Amino acid sequence: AGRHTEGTRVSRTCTGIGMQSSTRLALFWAVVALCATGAQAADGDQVAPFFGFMGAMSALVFSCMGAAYGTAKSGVGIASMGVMRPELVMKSIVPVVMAGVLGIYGLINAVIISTNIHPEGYTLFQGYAHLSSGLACGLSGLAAGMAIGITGDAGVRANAQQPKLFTGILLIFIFSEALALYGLIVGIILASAGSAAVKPE
Amino acid sequence: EGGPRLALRLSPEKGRAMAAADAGVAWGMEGLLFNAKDGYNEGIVRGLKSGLLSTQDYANLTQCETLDDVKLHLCSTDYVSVIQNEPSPLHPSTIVARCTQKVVEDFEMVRCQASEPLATFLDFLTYGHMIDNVVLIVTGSLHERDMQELLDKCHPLGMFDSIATLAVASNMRELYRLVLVDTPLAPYFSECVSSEDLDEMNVEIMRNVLYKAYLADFLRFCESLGGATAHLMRQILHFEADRRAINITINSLDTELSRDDRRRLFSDFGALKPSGHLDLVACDDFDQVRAVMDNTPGVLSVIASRLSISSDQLLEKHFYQEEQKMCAAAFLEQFNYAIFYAILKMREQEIRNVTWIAECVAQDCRNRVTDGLVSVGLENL
Repeated sequence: AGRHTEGTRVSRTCTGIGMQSSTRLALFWAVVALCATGAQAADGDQVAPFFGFMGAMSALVFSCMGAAYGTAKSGVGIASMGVMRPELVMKSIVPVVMAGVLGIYGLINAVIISTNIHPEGYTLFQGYAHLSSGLACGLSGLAAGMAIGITGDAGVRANAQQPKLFTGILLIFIFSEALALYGLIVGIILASAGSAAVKPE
Repeated sequence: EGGPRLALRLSPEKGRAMAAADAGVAWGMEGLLFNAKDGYNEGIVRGLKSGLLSTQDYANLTQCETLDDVKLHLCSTDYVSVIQNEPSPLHPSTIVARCTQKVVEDFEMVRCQASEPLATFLDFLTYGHMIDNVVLIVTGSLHERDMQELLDKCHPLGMFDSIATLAVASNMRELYRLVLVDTPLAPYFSECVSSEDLDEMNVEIMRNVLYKAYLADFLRFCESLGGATAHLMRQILHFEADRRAINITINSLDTELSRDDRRRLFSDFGALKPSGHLDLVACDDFDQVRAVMDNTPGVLSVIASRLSISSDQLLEKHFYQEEQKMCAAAFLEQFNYAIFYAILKMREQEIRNVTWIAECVAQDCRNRVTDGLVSVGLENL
């Protein structure tokens, strides 16, 4: 007589077996505790290489995405500008080169991480460290690539009309590139923190 | 308690629109995304705005004695590149033609660098001039004018390839089938296509029907863009529709245009719709039109209060001033396309001002030179 006609499947099931909300809550926390202890019971180190390799992958993939965006966006600007001022094209290649360097940063970090992953004795701590290293370098490279792309597009077009802007725009590129460099430095530090850790006997 | 509850029940769109009545409010994520494609173009346009003629320039120009003085003062503005090599003796029409050429060059530069959807928006700005050019050539060829002379009078922004073949058509259907079907004006022509002959009256009706369809299409496009662009362009285009309704009424007061035809030419939006349109259709002289403007809430009643009785001389000037105020207000908001519309209108107004000054100087009636000037830009508000 007091049945709800609406609600989620869980609440309908609980209502069907005559369970109250306090009992439902206690059951939920019991399941969570079981999962946690279950995870501890299994060897976390068997899962660790997953995180390590994900770190290596994300370092390369996100940096390359940033490099691709930077190259594409500024390439469009160079192509538009080069029609009327072909002599400036070589000077305007700078944003493309700087975007390419971001891919190299990702490559360096991915190689450092992947050479430190061993099939035996690779702890979860090391896995987390390598994951964070890869994400730090990769996402910084993505951000720097977007900055170089957008400012590169506008910058090469503006440089074609006003050559005095070249130095200022170059400074903007350098500051954008610095973001990816910070990511690479922190990534290397984190990877070395992961590699230096030895499992306590 | 009733106030906030009411706002919650509105859709997020309406709530935002009500809250963002002032300038400088963020509409969405355009602060992150606008500069990725359109930042450079906005930069160019704001640079062009700072290059408009200033109060000091106008003060110098209104004190000129001859056209050579006008040329000298224009050489200290952004027009120097087009005007400095003009040989004496000067004529007002050459000065104006050179300045218009500069405006067109700057517009073409912004148009070249634009990506979608800005490119479509900038194309929309040229369709009005295209309609004017089509009407100019058709009326000119009705009066057996020389084609080259007519082409010289056309506005450069509204040129298209097959414009010279407009003289061949003898009625509306041929006009559409031979020439206009390949132009961007083709979709606006569906209401006009008939086998009627091209005489003065029908050509004017054709102009207004095309312009009505163009304004409706432009408004629909701006609404699809959303954000600050839609908000600003809606205000501007609604005012444009009202202005055209009033001009159509005044121009058709003593002609054979029937009431139904007049009603057909009014747009489907604006402050005058729907009751103002019904009143305008019934108008017989200028005082009745002025009374209709008085009754309309908003900017039209303000304009009506400034007009003197029974004189429509200054009405056009007041409309231009109101348009310039809206254009200056568009520059107060960032990350929108209305500034591209605004800069074109401001520069056209500047050309009209320069034309007025040049004509006053050439015809030696310098006492009237400040009468016809409309202030352009924020500093003169």
